[in-house]
Amino acid sequence: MSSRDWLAVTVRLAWLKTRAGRIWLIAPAALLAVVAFAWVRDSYDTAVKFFLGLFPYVFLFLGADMVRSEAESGALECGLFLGGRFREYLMLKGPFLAAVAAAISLLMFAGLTLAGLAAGRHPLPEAGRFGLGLVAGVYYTALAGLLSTRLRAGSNVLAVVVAQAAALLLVMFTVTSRTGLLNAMETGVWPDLKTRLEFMAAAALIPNLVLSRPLYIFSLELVALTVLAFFWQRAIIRRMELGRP
Amino acid sequence: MTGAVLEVRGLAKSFGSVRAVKKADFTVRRGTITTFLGPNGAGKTTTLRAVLGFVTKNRGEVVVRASRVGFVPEQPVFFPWLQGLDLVRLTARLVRLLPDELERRMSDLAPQLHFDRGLLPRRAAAYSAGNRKKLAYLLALLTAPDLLIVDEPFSALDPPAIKDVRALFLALRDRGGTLLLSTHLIAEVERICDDFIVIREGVVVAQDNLARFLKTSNLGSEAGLEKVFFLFAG
Repeated sequence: MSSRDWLAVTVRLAWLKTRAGRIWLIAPAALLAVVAFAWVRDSYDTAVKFFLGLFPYVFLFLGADMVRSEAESGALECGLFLGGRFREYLMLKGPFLAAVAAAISLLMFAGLTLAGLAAGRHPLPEAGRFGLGLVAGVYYTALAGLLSTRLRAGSNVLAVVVAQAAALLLVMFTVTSRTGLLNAMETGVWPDLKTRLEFMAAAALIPNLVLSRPLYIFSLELVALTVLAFFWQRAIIRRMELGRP
Repeated sequence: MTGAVLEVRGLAKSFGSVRAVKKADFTVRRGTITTFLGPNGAGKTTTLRAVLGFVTKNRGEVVVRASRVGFVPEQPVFFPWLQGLDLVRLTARLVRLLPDELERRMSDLAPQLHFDRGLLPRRAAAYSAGNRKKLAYLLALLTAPDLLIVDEPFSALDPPAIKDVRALFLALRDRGGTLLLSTHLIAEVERICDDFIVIREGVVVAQDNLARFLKTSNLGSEAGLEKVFFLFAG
């Protein structure tokens, strides 16, 4: 068996699981519905803003149930995964899902662009933000992968969404003491290090925030966090053993 | 004796403070059926899982001199999103079986295992325990392994299937294949067993050729594998 054969089997397995989960259809369909609604009720520009702000969630939702549930299921204890090959399969899932989500997002952005051109508008100036969204999306995949080494089934995604909701509530209830941060996000001018660090912490939890202006420099933070999460997950999987708890 | 296809030296595996396998030393000779015996909790399954790479050994060495290893777990579990056919295709892809050869092997193996090929388009996880076991055998044997490791080979199988599987084991051995069978059902393997290994409290305490051991031991001419088991593990 060559590594090429094994890669083909791994990709096929990951695709079969993704396909069976239906989330690869449901998440883009829901996003499409929101974008269409925004266009019909408001404008094409609003629809593009909604798309750019929300499409990184396609990456997050595709990243549900990546590692722990499968490792504990017993299904990896078979001839396909002998000699520790189950670790390679679990490690490849993240990059594979990120590629699927990126392809879906690209297709949707292309569709939105064509629809805009047909309507006499075009969102190509937003290509930079779309690129930032891809960075945020890949970070979501890495974060979901890392969390799924501890959390079972889709609870990794749920944990991110709940944490984001809690963070937004915190901001709402403490808005008067956070005007500096909100102003900086609005203007793109960072008065001090504290404000920058506050934004970096917020972006680590809600990476979509880097699309707000767009804030290219902060995308470097997401790239660094993606690499960190990927290698952390890899280290955990390398030590992982199969079996039910 | 045609050389060892599997050598395990000084294998140890702990789970936290529990020492599941303390010291496993054994070899499996090529072209033999070797039975791995031991009471419940002796460390049989953990030893196999360490040999197969499902858990990481703490100490020791595992040398496999087989180009293709097959494995059948005690209670096969399949992903709920996979059909039996997906598993067959993935296994065939892994070992680069061309469609004609795959069909030939399926036509050969499925009747021998009394496995209904009509089940293949269904989700494998929904099969009965017996059919899951048969599918696991089918997948393992499709790859034409030169070392087949089976944990509890007869669990979930009915008597006719046990008979068929025993015949398959003999056929595989006659073609030069090697089998390592971990089991509690001593009577079922006695007739086909060449060598035995006994593990007790995480330590391999005996290994020998069964016929030779019975000839040289003082267990008596009527003795069998069960007496060997009780001698070392009882």
